[in-house]
Amino acid sequence: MSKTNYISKYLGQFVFILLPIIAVVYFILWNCNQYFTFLQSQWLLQTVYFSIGLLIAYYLFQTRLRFITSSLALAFLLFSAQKTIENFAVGEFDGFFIAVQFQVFAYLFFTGWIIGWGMSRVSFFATILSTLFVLLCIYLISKTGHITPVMLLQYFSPIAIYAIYILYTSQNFRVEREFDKSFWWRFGKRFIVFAALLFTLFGGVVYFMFDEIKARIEEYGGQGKEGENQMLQQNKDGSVENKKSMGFATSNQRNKNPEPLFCAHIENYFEGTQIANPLYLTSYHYTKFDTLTETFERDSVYSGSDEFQPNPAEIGLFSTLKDSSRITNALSNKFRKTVSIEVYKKRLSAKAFVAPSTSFYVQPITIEKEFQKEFKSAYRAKSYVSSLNSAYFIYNTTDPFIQSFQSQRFSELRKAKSYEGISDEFMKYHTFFPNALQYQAIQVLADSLAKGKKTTIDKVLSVRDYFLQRNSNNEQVYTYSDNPGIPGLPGASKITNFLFETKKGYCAYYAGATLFMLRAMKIPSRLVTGFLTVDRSDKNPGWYWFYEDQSHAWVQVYFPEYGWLDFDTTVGNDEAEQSPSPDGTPPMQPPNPVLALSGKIISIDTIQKLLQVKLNNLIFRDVEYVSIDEQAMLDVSVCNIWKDSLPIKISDLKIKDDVMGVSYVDALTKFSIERNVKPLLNKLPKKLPIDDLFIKSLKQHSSDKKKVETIAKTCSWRFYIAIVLGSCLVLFLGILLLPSIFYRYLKWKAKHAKRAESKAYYVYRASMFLAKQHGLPQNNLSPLQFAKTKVDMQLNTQLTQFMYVYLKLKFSKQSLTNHEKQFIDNFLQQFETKINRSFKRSQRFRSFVNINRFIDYFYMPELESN
Amino acid sequence: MTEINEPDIFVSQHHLIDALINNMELVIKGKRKQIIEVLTCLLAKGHVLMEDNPGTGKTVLARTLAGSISNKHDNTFKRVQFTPDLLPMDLLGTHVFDEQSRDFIFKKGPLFCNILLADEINRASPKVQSALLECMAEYQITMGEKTYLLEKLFFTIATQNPIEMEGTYPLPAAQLDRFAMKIYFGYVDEETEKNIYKNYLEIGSNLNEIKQVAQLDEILTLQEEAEKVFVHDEICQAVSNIVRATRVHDGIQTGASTRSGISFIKCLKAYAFIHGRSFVIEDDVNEIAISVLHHRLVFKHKEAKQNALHQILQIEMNRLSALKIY
Repeated sequence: MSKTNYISKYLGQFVFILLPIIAVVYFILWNCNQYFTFLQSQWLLQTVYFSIGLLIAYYLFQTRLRFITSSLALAFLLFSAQKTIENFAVGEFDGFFIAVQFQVFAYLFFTGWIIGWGMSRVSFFATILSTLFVLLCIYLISKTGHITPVMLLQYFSPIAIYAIYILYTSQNFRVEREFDKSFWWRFGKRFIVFAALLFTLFGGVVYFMFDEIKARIEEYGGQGKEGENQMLQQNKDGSVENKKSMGFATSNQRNKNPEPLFCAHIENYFEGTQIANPLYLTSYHYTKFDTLTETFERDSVYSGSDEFQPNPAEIGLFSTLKDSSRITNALSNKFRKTVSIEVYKKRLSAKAFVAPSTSFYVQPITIEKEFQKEFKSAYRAKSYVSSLNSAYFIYNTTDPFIQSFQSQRFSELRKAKSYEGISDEFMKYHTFFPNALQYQAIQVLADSLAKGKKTTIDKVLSVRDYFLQRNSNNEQVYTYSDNPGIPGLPGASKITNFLFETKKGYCAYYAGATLFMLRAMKIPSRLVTGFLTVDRSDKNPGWYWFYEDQSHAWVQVYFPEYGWLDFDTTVGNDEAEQSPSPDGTPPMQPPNPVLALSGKIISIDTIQKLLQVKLNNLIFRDVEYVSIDEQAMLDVSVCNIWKDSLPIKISDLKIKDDVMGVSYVDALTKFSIERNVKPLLNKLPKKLPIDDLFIKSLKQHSSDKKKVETIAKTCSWRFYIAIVLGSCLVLFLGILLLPSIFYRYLKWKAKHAKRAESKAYYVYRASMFLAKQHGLPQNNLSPLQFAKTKVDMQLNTQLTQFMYVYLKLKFSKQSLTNHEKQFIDNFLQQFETKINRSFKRSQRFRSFVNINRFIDYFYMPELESN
Repeated sequence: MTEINEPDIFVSQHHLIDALINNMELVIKGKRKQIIEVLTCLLAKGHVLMEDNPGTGKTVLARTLAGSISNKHDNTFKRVQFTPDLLPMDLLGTHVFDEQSRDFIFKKGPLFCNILLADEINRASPKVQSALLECMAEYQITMGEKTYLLEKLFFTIATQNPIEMEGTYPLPAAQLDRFAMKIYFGYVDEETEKNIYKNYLEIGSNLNEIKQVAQLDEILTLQEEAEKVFVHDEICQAVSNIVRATRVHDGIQTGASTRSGISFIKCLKAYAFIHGRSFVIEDDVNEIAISVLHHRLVFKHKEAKQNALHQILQIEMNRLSALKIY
């Protein structure tokens, strides 16, 4: 084959075989990234990893490279690199992270390698590959919670089209030997016809069968996998948080783990009493509803939301995040108060944020030393809550106090105005009711319940009472069940099935049904998830423990002026596995710091116990001043100094240490807040009394650590990519440079050889190498024949004469004449000049980077067989 | 820098050999390789067997060589056409009764010559072929009680047609082993052949008018000179390796004998000498090994006949060329 033919072949293979593979793998990886958090949503990069492996292997294996040896070597290389990274990465940055990333790289690269090998060497590998892709696709679909026909098509069509396509193309390329114009013409013609045919067929099937497919999917489309807690999602580090969407699954596996998720202190008491009033902790608002899949989702677009979802892991210790727009969006002014809550997380994800609605403030706080083992992180939050709100809002209890509280609340709410005057947009958004036929039954039911009820709260209570109704045997009509099962009829709505047929379900069913019943009554309402608060202990009023089975969904109803109130219609659970273990000791609440500051130590006075600190930021009475450029004197005479939660002495402090100081001194509260930091610092005492001083190191504090981790992640990412790409590049260049390095080595040896024999030997090696590297084939010729018939004939050199001298040295015991010695001395120089004259610069360059020839040089010629 | 040519580097007796080769080339066109090989055998004190189809110039070569060498006694060249009814005594000679001395005297046969052309040797019966054994190896003829020495220079050029042809007896292995080389003639290339057709008259007359460029004594001297060529240990090693390898090769039933090794070394020396060198190089081994060894081996199958020796040689050549010299 000619050179252009090769280029045309390689280019054609790249465009028509490798690029489609890369595209499909990109697609699959993109999908994988949706389901596996450890992939870190880096699908583009992962595709690049895969592509590198694929390309290298595909083109390498077109040479005579051995598959098993090279692959084993590669696997070993990757494995040892992985081990090295694991060892090396411990100190500097997050080793786990790099190791995981490298693992991803290694797997993808190796997969690419194998596929490249297969496509290059194995006939019918395309069949295997497309089968694999289809299987992978099926697996991914099985992982998907919500299947819609469109999604199914999205998943399947690229893979299916690819599978047919690659079978066609790869066979075409495999069979063909000559990649000239006629081939491309033929290939192109067939390709266009083929593509047109494929799309007509595929499009036709999709177009005519769409409704059919849709019906089938609705029949079987269960949401979520069985045997999973439907309300929570498990993260890779074992922590949990609320799910981002909620559907109706056939079963809800709760209470998997008896360990509590977190513990919270809610500073909410019934007015004028010391009786704790528990509040539901909200995490997400599900204001959107997908009718097709009957799934509730978050709406990140809606502007009027009062959902407050900060990421506590990204906020510095004692730094605050406050969003007062949430209070505005809460649209209420009556019976409101600010309640503060502290959440101490055990298994709950560091990123998760839960608080009674409507929350607007968050501040990560420290955990007292004795509890640091038990609790991983903590934050303080503030919520603008209605004093009418309570976990005791709905159900009749025997407690006379609660009963009276309930009736008080209900009578208060009866005074609420009607919804006239509330903005249309708000009403429309929160009373959206699907107009599909199957929901009409809910409308009818709601109408019958609302009949004769004038106030909103009475309508709401009618829904509650509907679910609490008992039959003639005094048995509950609606029961709690974690295994509600699927509707018997294909395509039936899960909500109506629950409401009218099975009458059993878990919180999502009750909340969903309630929501639609309320909306049918034109009452603005929404679905929220979070945690149901249970007051189990009398010992520590205000302290609540939260287990996995307390993850919950319920409805919030909007009352004009009173705002959103929690409204839980889920019936009590008779299967009752409640209170898995007695609540533990609540952590000691750290005193509320009056002053918190962070900065760098400039000077240390160990005698007077004073520190001069250059401040970065300062928080005084919950007001944060950031990026300030001031200095302050800290009085650390009564201070506990901590490093990695171990107490240290003042003498252990070093200049330039990053420190965070916290002061709980009450005397400071008498100073008022200033707009700017400078007047504030002037006002405060010159020597700021500090109670706790934390030396900031990477492991100083969990929330701090998280923050550092994210930074480390980003920079280690770059670092790591740079290392991988850099070493790939260096390796690649090194390989390309090998021939010229080897030649230079021979030349150097020839130049510095002491004896005539060794000199002649290296001149011989060098000239032979040079000739072969420039593409003169030795085949089975002896060196002399090669010199005579190939090199000298083509390049007009004197290699034959040199060979005679060399062979004389080699096989006779005669010494050389001066003339001959001189000849050897000058030969290589001359030979090189001749070569340079015979070949163009570009030819010479290409010859010197030709690894194939370099490898061939070290190959023993194959034994001739005639 | 002045050009260094092959003859410049090495001391040689080239003029005589050159003259011989050139002289022969006047008649034999396009067969330089075969001429050199025949001369190699001559200088190595061996005999040569030429095999190919009829009409490829075997006989002409032998005649030309004989014609190039002059001898006072004029018994330089004898030619015997081997036929199935040829008897040993037709070759060796016979005792005839002398009327005058009333005794049997020995009438010398055609073997008493310097260059014997045994044409179509495989047409004769094994009995006749065996008659050649002693004279080829020991340069003497034993008739009854008496032993007659052959000429100092006794060189047999035997030709044979491929044994597959009708009316031939394959040469016995012992006979074959006595030939230093077996040379395949082959057809000349197109250009040369065309030339031959154009000038066949001239070539024919060349053969008749061939000059005698060398004296018999000079050939004997050349033989002695060739004997002095230096053979490096590694070359000896290579010859030994090749010969031994033929004995253990899967495809070879009977390997090469020690005599063949000796003959190989002799041929190497002569070959190097003809090329004007006073030492043997690896390429010499490569170039003549097949001619020297191939006819002595008994192969198990056809494939081995084609490949086995080449493989053995290739391995050895790779070893030699990769050899570091210090």
